[in-house]
Amino acid sequence: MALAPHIYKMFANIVGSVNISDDPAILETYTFTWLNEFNNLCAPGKFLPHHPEAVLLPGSTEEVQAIVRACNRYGIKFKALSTGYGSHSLPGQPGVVVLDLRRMDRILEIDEKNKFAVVEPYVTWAQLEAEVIKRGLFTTPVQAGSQASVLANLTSGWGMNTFGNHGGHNGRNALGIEWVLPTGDLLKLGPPGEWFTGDGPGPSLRGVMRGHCGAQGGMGVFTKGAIKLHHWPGPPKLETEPGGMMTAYLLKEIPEFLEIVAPCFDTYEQMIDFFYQVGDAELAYAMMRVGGAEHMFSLMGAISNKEMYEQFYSTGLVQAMAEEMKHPCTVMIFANSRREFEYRKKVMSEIVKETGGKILEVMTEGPMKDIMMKQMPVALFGNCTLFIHHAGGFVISSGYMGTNESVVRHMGIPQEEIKGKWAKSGKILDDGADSTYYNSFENNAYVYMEMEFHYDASNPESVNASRQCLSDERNQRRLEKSGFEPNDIGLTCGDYEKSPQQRIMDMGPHYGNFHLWQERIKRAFDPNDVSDRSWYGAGLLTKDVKIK
Amino acid sequence: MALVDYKKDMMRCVRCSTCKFIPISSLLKSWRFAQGCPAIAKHNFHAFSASGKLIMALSLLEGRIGYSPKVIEILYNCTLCGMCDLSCKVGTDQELWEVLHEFRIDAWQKGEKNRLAPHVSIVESIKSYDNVWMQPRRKRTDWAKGLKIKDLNQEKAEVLYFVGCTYSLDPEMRRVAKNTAVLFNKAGVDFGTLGANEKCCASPAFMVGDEELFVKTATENINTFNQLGVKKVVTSCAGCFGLIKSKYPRVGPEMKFEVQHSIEFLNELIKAGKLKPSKEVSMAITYHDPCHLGRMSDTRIPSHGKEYYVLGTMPIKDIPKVMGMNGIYDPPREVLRSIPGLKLLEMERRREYSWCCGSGGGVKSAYPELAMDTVKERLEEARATGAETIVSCCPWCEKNFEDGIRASDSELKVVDAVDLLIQSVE
Repeated sequence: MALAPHIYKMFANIVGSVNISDDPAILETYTFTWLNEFNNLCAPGKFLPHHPEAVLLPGSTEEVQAIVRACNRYGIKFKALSTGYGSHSLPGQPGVVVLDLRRMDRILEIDEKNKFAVVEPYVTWAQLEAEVIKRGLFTTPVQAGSQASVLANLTSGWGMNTFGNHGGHNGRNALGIEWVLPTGDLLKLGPPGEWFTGDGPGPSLRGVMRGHCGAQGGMGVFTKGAIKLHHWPGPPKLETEPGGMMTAYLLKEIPEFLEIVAPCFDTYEQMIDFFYQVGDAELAYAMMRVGGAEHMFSLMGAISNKEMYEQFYSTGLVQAMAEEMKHPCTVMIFANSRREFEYRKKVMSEIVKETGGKILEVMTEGPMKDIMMKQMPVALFGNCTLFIHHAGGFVISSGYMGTNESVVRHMGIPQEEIKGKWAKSGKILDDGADSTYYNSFENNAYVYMEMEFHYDASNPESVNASRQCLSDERNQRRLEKSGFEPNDIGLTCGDYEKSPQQRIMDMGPHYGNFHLWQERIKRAFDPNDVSDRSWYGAGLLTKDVKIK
Repeated sequence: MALVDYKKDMMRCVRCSTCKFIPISSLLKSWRFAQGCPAIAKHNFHAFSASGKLIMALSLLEGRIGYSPKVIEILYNCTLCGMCDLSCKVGTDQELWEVLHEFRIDAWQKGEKNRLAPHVSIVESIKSYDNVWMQPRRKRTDWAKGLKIKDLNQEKAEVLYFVGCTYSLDPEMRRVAKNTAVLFNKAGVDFGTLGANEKCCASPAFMVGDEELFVKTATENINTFNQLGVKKVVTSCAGCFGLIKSKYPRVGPEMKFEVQHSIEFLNELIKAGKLKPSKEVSMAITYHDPCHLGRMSDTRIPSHGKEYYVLGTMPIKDIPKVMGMNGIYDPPREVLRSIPGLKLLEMERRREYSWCCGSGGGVKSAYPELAMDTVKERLEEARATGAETIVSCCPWCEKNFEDGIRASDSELKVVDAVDLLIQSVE
């Protein structure tokens, strides 16, 4: 149902007539995105069954407020998105107007001394990185890619970063935030006129704003935000040139005090010991694990599937390395001085030995040396999201955040069994059973682990196999009654037969009835229920849920 | 060959927005010049991005939407500059640009050209006059009056100088052809032209989706060039060059000649000592990489959706992955650096990730506002370098720069690289 002409005109008066459209062709492009093929409304297709009513392009906080107030007045639901990547960024129900925040794309401030930047919603990680790196600072770019919105990641969505080892979890880097509440009122987290913190006297609202996973656009619109910045030990510009297989570009010159190594371990226990010891010694600028050798290579060589396959798989190199490299990690050492650099390398080398690890020669010479030292930094700093899509589709199992030991016990080992079975079916990418991605935060105080599944989004059989595979994984979690399923909320992962709200309803009782607490918050902040709640709270399905 | 051949590429789009920007942060130098796609930069709705057009194409194939004035407006509000293709291919094997082009062919064949009067007019001009400017064929030789140039209809030569419609027929642009011929003569090049018998390369037909006219014209041109027995076809127009080098190979007949842009050829002549830039040309310049001399000149053979799988579900396209890295980037810079006194200042977006001038893909004729906004953005980037002059090697870029400079009261000047070289050569 289209907007009534007078409503359309009212919105047009707010944003200007060129910044609103209800043309079916325009609206169609707001019904399609990554993971729609997993969404129970579309699967295994790509299009949502409903269009937005209109798409608006507000250019300021004031315009956002005016739109939201009008939505409250006329009972129209709204959903804001920025760069938009994943089903959760689109309206989950009919009757919604979309606020595409693309016109709000300025970096408002970079405070070098206090190490933070203030951004609007459509500033990308790449834009922020380009500006702060010249000032000796760095960010915590989300692994959704350097083209993704900084502010959406800080406030509204899931998404980890590779540099969490020194920079912390993404949500922890949110400072002062400007928030247009679902009522249209403006709330500023942190002190008035200041951005250096998101807190103040009294209870923190950061948990309400974001919590663990964000409200996926279900709690109003975030219009400005400050992000914590971190030290950058490298040069003011990383010069690249075309080449390499990983992201099509490689470093022209390796920064003087940068080294990336990939020690591997025979057992998870050894690997965990290594993570702890490196964390205790505060050695790494970045530290992560990218599955077994087969999985690691499938990510490394993604610039051209053909080249990757012919160079690494057809030659038997990957298969041989998979035997040798049971549990590889990637560690980036990045220092400020020669002395510090040598110290860090030496200590790390000792820890590798002490924990029973090894660094294979093949990783330190020839093409692998080039990949590790010239291509990997571009991939990590440049943070290209697309090299995870080499099979034409990518999804993750439910993620687990906790200590090294707990994530491996609850996720790594059991998921390998399930993944192994499906990887051999030919219906999902056979990149080895061990494709657990593993991010480290705050010197390995805690880690995040998830299992990757690569499928072909253009092939319904492959999509359905992936959905089944993840349902198997989910069922196993439930049998064990030990799983932790944050991604079920944060992304479309989990039990794909159900809608996100059904999943929330399912999970709530296992986790302190969080869904009811969410619902209380939702009703308090959004009394007219206009901020599209398809990915947040429990009320869409259960209007009669009793909130005591 | 049909739009449906690329359905899998459409379905694999993840709507990540990478196609809107210069890819990966290490290529970026500032917040200000991070955009990659002129169409989305102007219109902002996702539909105008490459991803948006892929989504629309899939929707069309699935019968969810049909052709409409808005679909055509979105589809043709695009310079087909290829930047989105590069950004996407940084991490995928998808053929994004081919989908955009095939979408236009589909629209043209299904009668949507009736909504595109400016494009139809250009195509009819090619059909009637063998040029895009509705000029009589005989005028193609006006620029060459007084110059000693072989007529390859009558004589043999090693090099065919393929002048192009705009350099032959646009009074303001003829100087580039003339300067080029003068330089060739100075260097003792054995060259000639087809004179009034030169035919348009058919780039506009290719760009708007008139596949029939493109194939017919390209085939005729290839056969003509082969029959001449020339070793090289050298063209001054980046549009002609990009099309002949990158797209003619998909037509079929074997091309028994090498294709070069004149700036490449002149660079070779300088390196061989046949041209000696020695007079000082004191000027701070910046160089604009034309899309069709740069990333779009890399020869592209479309897959038409042909692929096979390995490791279960990993698709492999059995064609070379072309990102535009092998465009002509160094020769123009080497020519400019060979001229004493010139100070070359680089723009932030350059080489394969250069920002389009806004003129291509039929945009200048049908959507002048997009052409103007896009060129103003480039002029701003040029101004930020501190240069006083922007240099290019493409008539379409130069003309759009001239229009942009006039409209924005910019103090920048625009010249062709050949204009500078001839000043320096004794």
